[in-house]
Amino acid sequence: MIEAKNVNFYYGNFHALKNISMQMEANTVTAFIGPSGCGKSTFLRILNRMNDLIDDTHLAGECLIDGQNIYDKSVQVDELRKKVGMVFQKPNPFPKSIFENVAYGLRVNSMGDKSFIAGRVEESLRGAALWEEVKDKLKKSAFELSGGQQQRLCIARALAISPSILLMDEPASALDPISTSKIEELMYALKQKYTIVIVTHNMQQAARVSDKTGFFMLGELVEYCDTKKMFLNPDKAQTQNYITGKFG
Amino acid sequence: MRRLKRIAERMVEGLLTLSGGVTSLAILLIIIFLFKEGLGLFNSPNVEKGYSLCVNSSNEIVRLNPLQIKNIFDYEVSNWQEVGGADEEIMPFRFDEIFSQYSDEELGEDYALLPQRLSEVIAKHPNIIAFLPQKYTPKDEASVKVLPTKNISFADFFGGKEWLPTATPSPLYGLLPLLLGTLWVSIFAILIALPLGLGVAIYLSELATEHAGKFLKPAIELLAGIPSVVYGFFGLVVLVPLVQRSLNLPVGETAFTGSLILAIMALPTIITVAEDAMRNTPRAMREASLALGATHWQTIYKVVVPYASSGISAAVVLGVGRAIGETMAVLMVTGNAAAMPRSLFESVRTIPATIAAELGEAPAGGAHYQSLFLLGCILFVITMMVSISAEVISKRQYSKGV
Repeated sequence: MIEAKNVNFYYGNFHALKNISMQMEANTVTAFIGPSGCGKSTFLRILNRMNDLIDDTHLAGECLIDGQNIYDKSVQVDELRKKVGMVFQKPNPFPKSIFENVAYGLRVNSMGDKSFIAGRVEESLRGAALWEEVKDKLKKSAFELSGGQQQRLCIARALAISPSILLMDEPASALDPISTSKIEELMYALKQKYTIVIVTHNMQQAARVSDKTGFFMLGELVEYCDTKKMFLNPDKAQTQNYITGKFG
Repeated sequence: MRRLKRIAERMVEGLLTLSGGVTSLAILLIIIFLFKEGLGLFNSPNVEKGYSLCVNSSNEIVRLNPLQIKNIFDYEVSNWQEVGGADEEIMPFRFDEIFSQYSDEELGEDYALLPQRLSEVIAKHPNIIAFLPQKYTPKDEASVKVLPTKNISFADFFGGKEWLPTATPSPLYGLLPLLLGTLWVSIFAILIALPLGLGVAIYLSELATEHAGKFLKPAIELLAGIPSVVYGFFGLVVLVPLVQRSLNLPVGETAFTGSLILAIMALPTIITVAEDAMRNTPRAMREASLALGATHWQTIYKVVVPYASSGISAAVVLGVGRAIGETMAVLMVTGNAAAMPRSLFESVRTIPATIAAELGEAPAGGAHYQSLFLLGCILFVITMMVSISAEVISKRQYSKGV
């Protein structure tokens, strides 16, 4: 379970997130929608402390995962990121073989021996619905795959270290419709084992895949409720306007 | 209006093509000139031009190679047996010795009788070997045998272990001591500079605070701008005594000192190029690695360094190129002994240093002069091989992506 309590986030003097409080249940898919620059990606990157990499930023408030404040001094960032996997907007495989891409997380965290790694690589590739397509060319460069395959490879790579949460930052925005539908099907299957948080620009996608949806605007969480309610009968006029395409 | 514009564009295009062509032609001509001059060495006789070597006609020796001739006249070989003749002591005879044996009257007017006198001397000593100007060489075949001269061979040059271009009667143009000296100094320079340079590059691109980077980067780039003669001077005044005292050596001008100064000189290039390459590693790669729970260090050595590997090998090549071609600083601190290098702590001499030191005293067009051009060709071939191999390495890494 993920819980944000009064999270405020600043890039230098710019107040990017204002008083965000929300809860995300385990084994659900939560989608964040909103216009560009509204803070939804920033909020996603707070959940695995990816924003730590950006200079001159700071955070106020608390962010808890399974009851533990992840911004506490005692938290090891690399341990946290093992638990909270991430898939990025553009597929970003390493310039290594397909096998080594998936094995990377296992190797850097020294998880298991050779046969364990081989087994886990297969399992992860199956989990990401890629195994059948690549099983004969695991030694080939990951760059030889198509964009959609690369993105599923990145998902497999994230799955390999068995995180409990999977963050996806517009995972299908650079993909064609067929690859997109494959990724969406995948999310549906992955929900059984993982808690998924996805940022998307595509409202149909949010409606299709998520259980709950949060609508962000200008750094504020305008509305957060069940996806069905959000798209059929939102509470706020702003939300209504955005999802019906009156602005944004 | 439109026509005019098109013509102007055509002219600019033509001009650019022309300048490209002229540049490539100039480079080609320089290379052709270099090789033409250099390869002329193999048409030079292995005995000093205009001179010949004569022995008594009873001597069974047929020919001598340059090294044997040099050893005979240096009194290092004293018995004909050692060079394939009879068991007899060798008596080397230089042309000017004739003047101490005969008076001017005996030599005749305008030295007309000189060949005859020389013939007498040679006839008198069966064990003699005489080094004479061709002009005065006796034509008396009954008592004098002129040893045939051969052209300098590839084997003499590429396999020669002695570089004595001014030795008489037979100069030695052995490439090996110079080639090994160059490689010796350069390899150790790179061995010192590479880990250090990579370390600084990693520090600058990954670890340094903005403040430290702002100070350090310009300082390092400044180092690249210092003229090499200044480095040489610094090496001579500071490094040479330091090496001599701290290692307790007879002289401080050693291959090691040269390597040190070259390492310092190659550092700025290696650091700047490697740092740029690492900085160019896409942010997405770092984020992907960190998001998988890798630590900062793991990300550096498993993602950033491999990703930058082609840039890093470019840095190494530029460093090697600088080390191999560097002349002045090395000339000043390595001691310039053209001997086969046996240890790091002896004097050596590199190819570029040899060219710089000797070109001034080599008569244009002579064998010595040509040999220096040939050294230039060798240097050219080495640097070309280094850059080609680097190209191959970086291309392979890129296309495989493994």
